[in-house]
Amino acid sequence: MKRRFLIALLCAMAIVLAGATYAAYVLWSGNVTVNVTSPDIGVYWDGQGTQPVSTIPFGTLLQGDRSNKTLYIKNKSSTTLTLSYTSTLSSVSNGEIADTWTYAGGSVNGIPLSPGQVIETTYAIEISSTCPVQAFNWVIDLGV
Amino acid sequence: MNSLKQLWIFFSVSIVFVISFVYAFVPRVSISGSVNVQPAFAWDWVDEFESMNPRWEWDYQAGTGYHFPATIDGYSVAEAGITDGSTSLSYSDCSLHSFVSLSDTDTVIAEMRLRCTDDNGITVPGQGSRGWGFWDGTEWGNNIAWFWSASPESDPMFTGFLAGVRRDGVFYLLQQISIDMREWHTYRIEILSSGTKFLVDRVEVAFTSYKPRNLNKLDLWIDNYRIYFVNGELRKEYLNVGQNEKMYIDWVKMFVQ
Repeated sequence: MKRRFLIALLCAMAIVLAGATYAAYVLWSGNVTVNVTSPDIGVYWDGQGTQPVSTIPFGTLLQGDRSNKTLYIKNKSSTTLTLSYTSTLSSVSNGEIADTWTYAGGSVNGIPLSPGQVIETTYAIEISSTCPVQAFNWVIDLGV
Repeated sequence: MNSLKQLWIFFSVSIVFVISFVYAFVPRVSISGSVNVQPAFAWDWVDEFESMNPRWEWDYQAGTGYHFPATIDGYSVAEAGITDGSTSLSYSDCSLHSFVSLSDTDTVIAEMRLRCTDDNGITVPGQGSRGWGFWDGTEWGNNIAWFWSASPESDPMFTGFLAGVRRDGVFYLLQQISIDMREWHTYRIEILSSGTKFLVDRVEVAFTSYKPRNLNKLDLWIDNYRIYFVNGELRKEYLNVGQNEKMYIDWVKMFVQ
């Protein structure tokens, strides 16, 4: 009986901790989306790192259009980081809009960034000629 | 049996907890993107510069000017430029011309996506003039509707980055536009029955109820001209260009009705 109670208690604690962690993550990432960056990595509109990127507005584009933005990524940590990004654009557009994030002609995925290093990158989207006429919003996660 | 089940639940929840914990504390930045997609326009022609389309005057050359198809930032482009060898002794121009047959009553829309390697003296060195749009082919461009930039050596009226409309020798629009021409932008000129409209990245940036006439050339260029006034008359002379100046044209689209 005592053992059962202990297991139930541990389960409850795990659920509470998992929930709290998830809630903390959701709130934290919500802030990042608005105006806060990770303490280890920053994305900026300028090479000096004074204008953090929170949203990338592409405005109005036509079917078949493409557009890109120049973004600067900075390693703010004291160790070398290897970049990796994911994007929800393809899934929210059913594959009708493709995006790429490139550095020196290749993907930023796998690029090592030494402490303090800043690189100039290009984030681009390309809209298919059959893309539905509507507004799209998506999330890009840049991690290490 | 019950204990096993509970252990299994505990194990599963713990795994979820560990994954959530690790995921939450991996350093990363979340950025949101947004775009509003509108229907494609029924262009008369689109040139993405995958080859040397004969609608452009590829064999035109002046001084150090050059142009050819290239690949930049992963796009097929027309690369056009003048080099640091351009001097005040002669004219250098990399114009990419297309002869167009337009009536003064036509609705004409041209859209082009391009970027330059410098901003023509606005914040970084650059000398000469450059632009993209329509004109009448006369020496002084008596009729124009184009995006235009002249470096600080020219009359202040023309320096910076402008939307310009001139009809029969009279300027009706010289409006400064605040953009960085070193970034990729989509430029659009609409010559309508109501006037002439300029858009950058599909946002209207200038309008005048006047429109040019006798247009017969669509031109994208960089040259080493300095443009100024003497006793109210326009004059031009050549400049020493201290560095290579290039433009990359991703595509040009044209509609006439």
